[in-house]
Amino acid sequence: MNSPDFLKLPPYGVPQPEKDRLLLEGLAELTRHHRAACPAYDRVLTALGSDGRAPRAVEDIPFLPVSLFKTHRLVSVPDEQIFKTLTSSGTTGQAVSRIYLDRETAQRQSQALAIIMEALLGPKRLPMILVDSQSLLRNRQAFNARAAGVLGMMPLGRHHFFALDDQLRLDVEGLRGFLDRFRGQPVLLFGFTYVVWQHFAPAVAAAGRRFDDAILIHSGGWKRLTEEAVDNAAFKRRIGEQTGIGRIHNFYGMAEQVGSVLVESDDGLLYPPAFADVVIRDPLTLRPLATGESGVVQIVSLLPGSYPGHSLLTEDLGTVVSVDAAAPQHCGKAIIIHGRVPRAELRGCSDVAAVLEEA
Amino acid sequence: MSTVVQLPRGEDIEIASVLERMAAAPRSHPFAPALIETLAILSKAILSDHELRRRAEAVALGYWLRPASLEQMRQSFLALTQPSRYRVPAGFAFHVPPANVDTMFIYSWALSFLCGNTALVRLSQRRSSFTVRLVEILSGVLAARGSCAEGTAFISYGHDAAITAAISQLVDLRVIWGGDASVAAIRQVPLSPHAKEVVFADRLSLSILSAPAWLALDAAAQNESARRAFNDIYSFDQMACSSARIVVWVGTSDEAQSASAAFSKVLRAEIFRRRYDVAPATALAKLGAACRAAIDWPLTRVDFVDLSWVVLDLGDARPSPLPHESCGGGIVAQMRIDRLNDLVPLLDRRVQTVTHFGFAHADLENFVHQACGRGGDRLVPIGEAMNFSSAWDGYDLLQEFTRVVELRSNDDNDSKPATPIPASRKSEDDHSAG
Repeated sequence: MNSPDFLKLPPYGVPQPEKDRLLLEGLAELTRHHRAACPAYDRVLTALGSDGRAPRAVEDIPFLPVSLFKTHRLVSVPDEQIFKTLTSSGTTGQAVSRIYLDRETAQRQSQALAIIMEALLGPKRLPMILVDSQSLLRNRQAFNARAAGVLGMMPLGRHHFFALDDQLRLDVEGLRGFLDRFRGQPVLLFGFTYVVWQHFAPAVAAAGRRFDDAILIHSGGWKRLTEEAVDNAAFKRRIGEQTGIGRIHNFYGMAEQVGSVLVESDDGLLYPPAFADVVIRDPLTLRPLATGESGVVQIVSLLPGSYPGHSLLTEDLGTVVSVDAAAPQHCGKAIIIHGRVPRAELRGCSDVAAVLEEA
Repeated sequence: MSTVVQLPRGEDIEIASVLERMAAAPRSHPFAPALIETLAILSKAILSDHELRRRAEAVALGYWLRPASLEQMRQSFLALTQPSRYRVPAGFAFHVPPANVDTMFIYSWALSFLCGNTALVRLSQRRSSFTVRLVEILSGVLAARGSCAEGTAFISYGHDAAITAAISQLVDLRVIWGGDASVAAIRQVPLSPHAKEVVFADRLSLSILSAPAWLALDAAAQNESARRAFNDIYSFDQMACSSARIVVWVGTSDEAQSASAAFSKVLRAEIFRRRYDVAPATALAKLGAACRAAIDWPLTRVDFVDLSWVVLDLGDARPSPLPHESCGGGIVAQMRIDRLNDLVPLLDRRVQTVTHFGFAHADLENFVHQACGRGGDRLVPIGEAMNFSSAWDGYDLLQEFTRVVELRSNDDNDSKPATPIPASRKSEDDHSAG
């Protein structure tokens, strides 16, 4: 399958003005495509006053709230072309997003992820530790974002080793064998942030194991760590102390935007690739905010062809710290994600049931 | 046995001993002077509490408990009595108020108290500091009131069906304040065969506005009306059952469009003036709701300048059942009809409060007549959606919280009053809490 031109660009080598032009054209085309192919999407845009006139900037591209994928089937290809359905993790008990992929979109997402990770890891596939339990993949009922993340990342390494058992306890013997086998070589680790923090790093320290040349990529919600008042810098310091891992990179992504992930660079900031970007919006007025201002994160991406997800307003808060400040190595917007928009406690009459169920 | 938390002090106590105490409490006649006096003292205590009186809900409650207001309730109660029909307390009442409409438990308790009942009130484990303060004040007032305090207890416990069952077997009256899910859950728990149950299900409230009447207002009157509409919509973050969620304009298409635009403009100014705070999560929830409505409803457009006020405009569409969004924080469905009675076929039993603006009494009376019980339990002027009344959700609570004893003697033509009603208290302001 042919790659679109935007996947041939260096992922961090396109300066913002050029990137804006590229994205504007591609996103406008995707908006037209999804309006024609997905009647529900068209209804939303019509009702919210999107008149179909040509957008003049990326900020003018209409967006959907990401929550809409939890309640509505939004798809822009005929049913027989749906190749895979992704579901988001969501908080326990809440509705999950359903994302419909055709072969082309799924392929683009895999390619995109490979391009982004290659920029970080180099062209060679490294021996890889998955900081999770293999049973995660076996249980198809619980096939969630964690499993999807592990599956998505696995092709980036080789000689895979699942480091945790069903109870998320460290396989100490297995780890010793893996480290002995690949002594003197760089190894890659991937896991979810709190799994690494809670189940892996302390157990590695307790087992007296050290990594001497390793790179850890981690992702997933910061909620639990925020509760423990652990920020990214503290996370890196502590995990480094416990395991000896020298390179630690967070990334920000979601089931609704697979492939368009923001990866942490050496400066500790997140960067979107050339084919995706971030707009920060005021939560009340929805107006785009300036560099340095904190607001709701909108993600735009050229990847989604089979579902109208090329422009999504997330429920996360973030800030664009700088633009093209690290060019030419890392062009584009440098971003900090502050975490989920805090839950609102609304009052009302209909909440006795919640109380009855709380205990 | 099972323990519950007794409020306000929060000590653990056996539910059995609470129930024993309640059973032994002395009885009072409905609207006995001592009961009225107790509530009048409570009113003063609430209105003079520095913490509570900063809250509009507390002030509304304090006013509702004032002697003049209690006297109106007494008159309503008297109107229920007939020669040969005594009204007596229902007996022992169990109240399950909602967790987050902070003041509701007092309204529910106070009416039951006025009717002479003993009352066990179950408060949420998530009760706010505001609720806790109200319980403290109320308990302080009761403690100084001797025998009429003995029949009231405030408790809290988790999801323990055994406790609910132990209480339900003993009571004469169970009062469950909504939603549908909690009504369904508590209804699973058997009630004593002789007991009755008053339940408040999920409800839907709307506002009917005459477009020509709105357009005829001068600027000052529009602002005043916007202030009232704001109270109807934004109190309790629009999550109360009586919060307006649908705005119905009555008039021609042109009139409705102009009036709607003018209404939104002054309402937005009022939202700004009151500094109504829309949390980011609420704003996003409203945006999500608007998008869902755009897909699922026959919407013409979503009208918003910012997400503090969102109008889901149905234009001339009249979908049935009436669609509404319940995410709260200032989002309404809007529709237009030619005449008030065009709303009649759209009514259903969910419809509770209808706030109205710009209609003559005769028009409203005709509307109620035409509706003939399809829906709409209370029609009140805009601004009064949150004003609690003993007529609620189609119940006359003074009637529900009492029972009737028929008395016929041999001299049936006798027309002496049947209920020994105590004399009205003339002096309304001479009871201090001490």
